[in-house]
Amino acid sequence: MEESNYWARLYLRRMSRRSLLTAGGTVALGAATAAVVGCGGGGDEPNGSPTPAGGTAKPTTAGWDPVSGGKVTQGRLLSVLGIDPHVDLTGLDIVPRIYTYLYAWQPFNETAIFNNFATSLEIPDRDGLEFILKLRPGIMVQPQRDNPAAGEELTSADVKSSFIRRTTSITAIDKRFGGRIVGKHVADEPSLQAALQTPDPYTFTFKMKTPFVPSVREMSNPTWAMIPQKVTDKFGLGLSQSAYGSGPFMLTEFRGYERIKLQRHPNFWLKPRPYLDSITYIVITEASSLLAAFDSGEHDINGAILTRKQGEDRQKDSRFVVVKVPTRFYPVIHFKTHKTLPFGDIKVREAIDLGLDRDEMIKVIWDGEGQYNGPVQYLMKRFSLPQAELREAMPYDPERARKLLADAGYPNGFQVKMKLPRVPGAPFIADLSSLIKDQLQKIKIDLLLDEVELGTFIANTILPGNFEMAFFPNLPYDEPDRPLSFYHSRGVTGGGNWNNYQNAAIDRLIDEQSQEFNDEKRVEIIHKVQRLILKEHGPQITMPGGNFYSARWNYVHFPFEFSGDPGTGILSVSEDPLKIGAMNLGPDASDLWSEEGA
Amino acid sequence: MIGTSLLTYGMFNLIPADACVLSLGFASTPEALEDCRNLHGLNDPWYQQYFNWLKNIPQGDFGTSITESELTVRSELEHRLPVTIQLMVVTLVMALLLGVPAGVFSAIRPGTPLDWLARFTSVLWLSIPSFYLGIVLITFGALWFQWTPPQFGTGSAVLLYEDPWVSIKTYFFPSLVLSVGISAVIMRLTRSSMLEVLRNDYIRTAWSKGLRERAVVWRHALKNALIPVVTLIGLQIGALLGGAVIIESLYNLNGVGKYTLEAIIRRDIFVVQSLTLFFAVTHVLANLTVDVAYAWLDPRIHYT
Repeated sequence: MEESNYWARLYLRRMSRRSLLTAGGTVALGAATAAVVGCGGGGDEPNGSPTPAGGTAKPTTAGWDPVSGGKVTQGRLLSVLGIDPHVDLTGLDIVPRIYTYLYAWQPFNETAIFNNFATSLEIPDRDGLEFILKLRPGIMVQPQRDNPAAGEELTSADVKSSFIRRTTSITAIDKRFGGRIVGKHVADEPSLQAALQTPDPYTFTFKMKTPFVPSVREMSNPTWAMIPQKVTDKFGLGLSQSAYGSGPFMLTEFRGYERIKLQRHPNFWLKPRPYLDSITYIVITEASSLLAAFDSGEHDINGAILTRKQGEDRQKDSRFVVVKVPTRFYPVIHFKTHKTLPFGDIKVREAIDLGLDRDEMIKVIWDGEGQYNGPVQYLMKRFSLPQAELREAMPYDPERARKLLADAGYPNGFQVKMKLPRVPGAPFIADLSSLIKDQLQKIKIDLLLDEVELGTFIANTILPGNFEMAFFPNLPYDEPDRPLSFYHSRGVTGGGNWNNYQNAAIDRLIDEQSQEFNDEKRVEIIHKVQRLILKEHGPQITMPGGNFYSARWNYVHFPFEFSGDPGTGILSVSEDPLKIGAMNLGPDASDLWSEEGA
Repeated sequence: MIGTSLLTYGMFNLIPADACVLSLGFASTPEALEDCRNLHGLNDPWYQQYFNWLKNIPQGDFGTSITESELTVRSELEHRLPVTIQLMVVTLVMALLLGVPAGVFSAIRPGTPLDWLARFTSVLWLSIPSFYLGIVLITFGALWFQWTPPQFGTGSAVLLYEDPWVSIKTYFFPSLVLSVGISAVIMRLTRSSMLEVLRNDYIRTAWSKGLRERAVVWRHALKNALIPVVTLIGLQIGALLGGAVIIESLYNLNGVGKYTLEAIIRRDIFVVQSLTLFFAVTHVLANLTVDVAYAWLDPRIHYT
């Protein structure tokens, strides 16, 4: 019987580049689009057939006639501290333009797209342990003067060294994949050297010791860049301010707080791509100045997230294309569930859950456009619980909340400090915290908001579990394993649960789903564990997510827009995937073009 | 200067978190943090860290950024210092051009509409926060004239000797925003100082000699009236550096002020230390220059 997910398509046979391109377009470009326009875009139509929201936006493939040449300038609110894809986290939207990746991932239909270094991925055994990647010949390294691998071909040896470097990097957020390859908690270099095989220059294989369902998704994320081995041999960890890849663009200038300039890679394998001659990022850390630079035409793509009002104002101007996309950041309240603390009592956690008016959050914070989030965010449609069920599980009932608090021994409520991070460019964090404070005041819980800088928050609050109550927008995920691991007693880093939360039944189900290759069964387990979590009212309480707006000038073209359907909550594209597939799109940003270049 | 750097160092160490925490982010496992701190010497005793940094200063080695690991503070200063220097010089020139003539005219025509206008304008300029004025100018420039300063599109500020016209476009508005507050203070001080000087006997003598108003006011009175203004300018250097932190961020000028702000946010201690030392040196030098200028302005003052 054929299974219904990507594993079914991968098992026992190869996935070819051609068939996959036809089947589904390109995630790389999707990711590029997402990065360029701030997570992609596209309007939401109630009937589920989204169209771009901009004044002159038209189906992008209809007039798809890319021309070579031209340059694009994009604004950017945050400085880039470093550009090393295995080490630095602040430039992860830029590195896919410089480096080659094995393949890309299309989140809206959960498909791997082989329009990059790998031409196929074969997983011959049913346990999903063995991975065989066939690699494309003729991918040339960029020809910088000081590049030790200049003009050479990328091979499986480069894949192996990149795997080792990425897996053993100290800043790798999630080390579970590498650990499961070698059968250890954290992978070390000798074990990886033994486990990763390169039978010939165009074949890369490894066999995992423990199965891990998110593996295919994991290898396509922006931190898995392929860096030529000669480059890492020469520079070691010194690739923070320079880059020598084989992707569509070469890094020609890097001043992470000022300007990052990329230039066309002349020997890029997929000609005539990239269409653009150059992409320049201009860092302006002041949001109002960044928007002014876009409005005045200094930037072709606005780098900041716009409010709905700012987005709609620009929609009225035919010179701009405005796109909106549901955010995959999802706000949560963390509780410390130690028995000596109020939140160790489930009645208190439930009281807070009941005291939160999520509809008001959607109205006030997300300008009326938002969806409820369960433990798995609503955008992971197949894995998340239905909206109706979530709304039923998260009612607003302050009366009952007060009664529960009284039953728990707090008839007059209590005072508690809620820690939250200060994140530049994301004012919704402070706004939502204030709203939560107002809402909980109604059930006599007096929140003291303690706002600290992000780094301090991560290091002194979240990681050591130094809080009673904390507020944080969790990172965007498109694989359910990651958000669920917050509820596991080993936590998301594998080192322990920040919330002191332990529930053997939940642990078992989370472990089970990460090894369940039958898609239907996995979805079933994920739904089951979420229902269990909802009844626990913690250790994280999830809140609704809304839309982000972004804008660009109408002469800049993407092959399609990312979108999110408000009815189903699933990410989709503005064009028919088959039509996009027929466009035979290339890797990240290589298809981006501008009429200015004509 | 040593005291300033020691104080900064001590206070900075009281702030929670460090540069390693910020650069590692969610990967701040105890092992990773330990590695990073060892690499940058952050696990050494505080006095050792401080003296390690201090002992290299005479060689011009201000240390290396922790978060931007391949960038030395010296190379960054070489890149950014001209931007801040030009901003400060243009600002001071503009402040003097706006403040001194207004103060003089206000003093020589007291009680006239011109005097009232100058005094009202100075109060207005003093009341408007520079960051607010900056935002207003940028926003209206973009919305009404589709114009923003060139550095918004290029990311870098062009210096006067590189391209004078582009440089003027780059620095005019940030300097204007920074200068209006200072010019208001200069105007008021010039006015009061001039009023006092104009009542002196030697001015009366000058009038009685039949000198023209221009000569009396600009040659005889103003030179003496400027002594407190020069003192004020020396003191304003500190305020200017503080203002530069905000205005450089707002106008995307990658100077020392913006660098300071970024370094503080990233907890990049050696960068902050070096910049604090730089500010202290600048302040001392500015006041020294003011003291020397007294001798030029007032022949009665001699330094022996």
